[in-house]
Amino acid sequence: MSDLPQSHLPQEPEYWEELAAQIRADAAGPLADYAAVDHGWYGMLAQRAPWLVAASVAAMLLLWLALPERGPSVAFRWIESSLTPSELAGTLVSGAAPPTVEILMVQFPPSEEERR
Amino acid sequence: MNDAPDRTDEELARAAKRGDAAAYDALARRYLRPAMALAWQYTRRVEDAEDIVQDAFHRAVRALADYDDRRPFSAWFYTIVRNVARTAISKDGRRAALAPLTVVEEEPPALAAGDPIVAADIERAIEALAPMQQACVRLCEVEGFTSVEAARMLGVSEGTIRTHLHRARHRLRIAMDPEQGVLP
Repeated sequence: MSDLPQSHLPQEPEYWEELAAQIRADAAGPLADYAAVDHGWYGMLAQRAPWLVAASVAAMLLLWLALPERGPSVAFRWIESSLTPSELAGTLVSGAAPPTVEILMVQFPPSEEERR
Repeated sequence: MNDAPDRTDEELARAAKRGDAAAYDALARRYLRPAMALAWQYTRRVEDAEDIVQDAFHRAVRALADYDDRRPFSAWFYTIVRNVARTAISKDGRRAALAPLTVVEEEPPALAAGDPIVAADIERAIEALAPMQQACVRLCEVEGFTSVEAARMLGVSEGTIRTHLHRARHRLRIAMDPEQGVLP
C-alpha cells in the first residue's frame, strides 16, 4: 500500500487547528442564541403556552356554562326602573312643585336574592 | 481530532442544541477531516473543499435546532455537506466529480511492461475510474476511512461501497500490472 498516492488534504496539525478555530468562531453566535433559550421547567412551560392558554379558555367557558342562571344585572334593572324621558319631562315641566330627590332617584325593585 | 470520545455524536449534538460550545467544538473536530475528505471528492481543490466545509458547518449549527437527535448525526451532517458541495460546484459551472454517479467507466491507462509503478501512475489510474469508484478508493484506501464511514459520508449502503471498492481494485490491478496487482 506504500505505492498509493498520498492524501490531498493538508497534513499539518496547525492547519486543522486553524480550521477548527474558524468553525468554532463562526458557531459562536448561534450557540449563544441556543444557550439563551430557557431549557428548565419554565422553558418547557413556555413551549406549551399556546396549549395552556387554549385549555384555560375552555375551562372558563365550561365554568361559565355550568354557573346557575342569575337575574338581570344592576345596570339592566336601572334601565327597567328609571323614568322614561317623557315622564321625566312631565315631572319637571308640569309638576306643581319641583321634583324631589326621591322622585329623581331610581327606585330599584328588589332582586331575586333580596326577595328571598 | 476526537475530543470527548466517551460521548456519542448525538449526545454532543443534543448538548450543542442547548448552546454547549465545548460539545459543538468536539463535534466539529470529530467531523472536520471526514467533511474535508468528502468535500474534496467534489471539488478536487483544498481551498474549495474548505469553503464548502465551513459553509456546511455554518448551515449545520444554524439548523441544529431542527435536528432530531434520535437519528444519526452523521447522516444528517453529511447530507448537508453533500448538498452544499453540489450547490457550490453547480454555481461554479464545474462538473461534479461525484455527479452523475452513473458515469460510463473508462479503461484506466495500462502501463507498459517493465515500467516502475510510482504513486503518480496510481493517481492517474484512479482518475480514470468511475467517480463513485474514485471516491471509494480515495476515502477508504488513501484517506483511511472504513467502508462504514465512507458509506455514511457518501450516503449509500456499506454494500455499495464494498462493491465499488471491489470493482475499483480489480480495475486498478489490471491497470498497474495484469499479472500481479499492486493493490491487495
